[in-house]
Amino acid sequence: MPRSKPVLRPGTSVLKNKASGVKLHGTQGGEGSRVDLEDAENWGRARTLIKPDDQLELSEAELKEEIARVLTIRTPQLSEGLVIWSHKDAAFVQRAVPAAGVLVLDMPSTCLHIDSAEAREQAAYLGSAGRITLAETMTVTKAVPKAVKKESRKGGAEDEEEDEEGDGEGDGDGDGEGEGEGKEHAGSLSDGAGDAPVQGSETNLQKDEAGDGQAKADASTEAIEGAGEGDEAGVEAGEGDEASTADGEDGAEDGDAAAEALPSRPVKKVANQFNFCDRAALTYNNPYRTLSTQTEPPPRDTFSEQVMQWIIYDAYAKDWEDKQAGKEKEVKAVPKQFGRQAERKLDERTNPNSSLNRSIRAAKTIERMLNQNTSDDIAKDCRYYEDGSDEFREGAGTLLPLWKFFYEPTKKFHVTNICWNPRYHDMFAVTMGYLEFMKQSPTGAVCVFTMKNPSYPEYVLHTTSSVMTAEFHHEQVNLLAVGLYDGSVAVYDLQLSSTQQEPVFRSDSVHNKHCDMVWQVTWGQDTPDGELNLYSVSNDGQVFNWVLTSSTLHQTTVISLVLERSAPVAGPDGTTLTITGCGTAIAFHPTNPKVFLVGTEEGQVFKCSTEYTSMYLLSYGAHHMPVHRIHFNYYLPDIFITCSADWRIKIWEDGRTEPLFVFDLHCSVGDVQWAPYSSTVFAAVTLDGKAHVYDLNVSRYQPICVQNIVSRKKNRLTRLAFNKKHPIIVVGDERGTVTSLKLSPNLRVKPKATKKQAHLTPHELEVLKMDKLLALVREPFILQRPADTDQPPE
Amino acid sequence: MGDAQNEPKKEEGEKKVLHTYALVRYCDMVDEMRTEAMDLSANACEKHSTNNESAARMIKENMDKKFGPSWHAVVGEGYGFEISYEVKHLMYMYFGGNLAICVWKCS
Repeated sequence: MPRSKPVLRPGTSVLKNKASGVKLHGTQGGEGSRVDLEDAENWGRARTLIKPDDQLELSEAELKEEIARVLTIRTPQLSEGLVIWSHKDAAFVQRAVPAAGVLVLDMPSTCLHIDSAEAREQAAYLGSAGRITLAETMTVTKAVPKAVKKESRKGGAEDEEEDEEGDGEGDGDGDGEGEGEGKEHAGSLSDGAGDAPVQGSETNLQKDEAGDGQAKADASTEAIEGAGEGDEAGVEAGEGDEASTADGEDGAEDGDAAAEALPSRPVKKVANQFNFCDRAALTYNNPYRTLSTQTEPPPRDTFSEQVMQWIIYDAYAKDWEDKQAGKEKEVKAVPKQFGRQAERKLDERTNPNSSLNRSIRAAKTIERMLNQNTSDDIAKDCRYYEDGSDEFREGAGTLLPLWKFFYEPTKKFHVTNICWNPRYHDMFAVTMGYLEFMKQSPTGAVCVFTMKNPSYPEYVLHTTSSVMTAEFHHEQVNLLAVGLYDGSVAVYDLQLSSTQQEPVFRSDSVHNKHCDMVWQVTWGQDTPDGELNLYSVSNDGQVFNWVLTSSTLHQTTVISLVLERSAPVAGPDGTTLTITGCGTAIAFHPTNPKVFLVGTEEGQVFKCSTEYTSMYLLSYGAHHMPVHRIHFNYYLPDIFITCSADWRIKIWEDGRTEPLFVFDLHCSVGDVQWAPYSSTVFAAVTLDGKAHVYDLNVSRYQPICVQNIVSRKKNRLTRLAFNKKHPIIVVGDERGTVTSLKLSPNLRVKPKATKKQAHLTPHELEVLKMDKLLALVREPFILQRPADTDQPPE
Repeated sequence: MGDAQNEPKKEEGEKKVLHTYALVRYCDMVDEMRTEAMDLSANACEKHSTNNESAARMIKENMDKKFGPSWHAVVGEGYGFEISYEVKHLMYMYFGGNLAICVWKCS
């Protein structure tokens, strides 16, 4: 049959391709070409019957065992031990084995192995009909319906059986050819050439008998059964058997005929890529519609002109004239403006005769006049009033309040320090900040007041942090060193402060500054090069020296206030921390500019030298609470006084670790200062708002004056400063107010020279006075007799 | 597009200030286009100082490229014209002391 031939060939070829061990040799060939093919392919296989000597003797069971031929992409001959010299590693490295495989096509298959669990599942799901269709789909599609028809024709009612029959045949076939998927090919074989399956089964039988191990016993028996059933079922099978010798096309023809005769059963198809059909649907075409719009054309205009050479010439001439005129105007206009601006700048900055400066000066004069008028009585008191009652009081004096100085915007601040100007005796600087840690503000100020104008500060310097301390330079009195709460140090020039608020020097806020608030700054002696320098002491336990170079503050560490009493403490991560004291006060020795004292928050006072950065000359266990002030006596350079929050004032002699005098004021002492006019007088302020004045010459135990300056409930006194020339002290409180007080005559008694001392200067008299007192309290130095080596021991 | 009708001498004895800069007589273009057109006209007239026609061609072609088609340009020393143009697309300028250039767009 011409139609079935092309069907058959691919069928067989599929078989051959898939079945590795084909045993269909020596057939009595109906299909000449097929036999030839098989012969050709199995030529070698036939010869395997001659066993090599070393062939394994396998048992029946072992022979039946299926061994799938596995193809790998690896080349077995390829050596794995290839190495290559690596210059990078200076060693032999394993060489990568080149990939032997080339992936040409990667396509996930939809085919299932018939024996696999999934296939069985699917078969069970689809039922037996499905199995057939499954088989069909795996083979050439055209052959399928014939097989079904042919077999179904055998018994109308026994469709199922017939299916199984077909399966059986297929099994026989497939297994006979050593293939597991035989069932799938059953259809194609049985229909494609009716003889083929029978042939297969027969050969199987033969082979089994012959003891050929390639066929499975059960498969072959199935095949036999299938064949048997086929025989029993009817003539068709018999025909098929007979047709084994005859032409396969006849069988196929029969099959066709049978197919025509019998109604076809509905067949469920499993969709896959080999089984598809075209489908088409016609949709409606959307109706067309025309839509049009019209826009307005871009606006047009007409333009007309005449071109003549003279017109062009005239136009140029006119334009040129206009340009010249414009240039002249510009030339005139520009310098005028510049001139004005420059003039104005000059005026404002430097020219003292400018209208602005003149008006300022006039305003100041008027202000001073007004102040003089309004506080005329105070001014007179300050100058002339002496408390007459002092004559009747022995050893007691009073403080006469004069002006109060405050600046409205800084009324909430604490007065943190007061410093008199060394040259202008009416001028003092008041620093505004906060002494409480919790109550800091992002601003601060330095107000420079003059006694001639109590209503308004002469200069106000606003800062970005609380100001803790300030000091005028002793020579260049316009320079004001300022220590800030944020740890930085700045130097202001008051001469420039009317025009610029920025300090002339300021420590870098990142690299060089204290890590904690600066408690005190003090100017040091100028360096040999004539550079100004200042010292600052801070809560971070460092004393820095700042040298004012041309543009910057150059910082060096003078000393770190390491506490002697405590050994390095082990930190959390194994490091050791040296505990530093928190410096709160600093004072330089009046005669030896290299020696200075530093008070700490721990109460200790260290005597240090600028020459040594790591050792103390002496350390005093002065107080138990923060030291607020250290002040050297104006007359005796070795006598200094300290005050502390532990209520005590102590007077020390340099070199003695025990104080000479101790005074207990029953309240935290904010500040203590020696009087500049007497060697034995000092004044102190306490937090309860009292000012105390002592004169050791009058009483070594009692103050000669205690006076409430501010209300005890509302306010506290913080700082105090003696005027160097006038008998005036100023005290600052926590409300940003500075009160000036005049000392009554009893508080400033000068020593009277006896006839013997007539030749002595007042200064020497003061020294004598103090020495006399000190002699009373000094423990006499015990003279150690040097060990006399010459004298033989007796 | 270019006309060259007459070439009167511009030299006048007494004051011989010869202005050759570009003098815009009338222009309603936006600034960008205006500077572009001025530069272009000046360049074209300098390049083709002897041939007004090629100067006009160059102006027209470059303007077409830059600002879309249908520009027209007239370069000449003496002519009269009445044109209709798209608003904001007209420039009329003098150049080189004796040339009048009119550039406009009208599609």
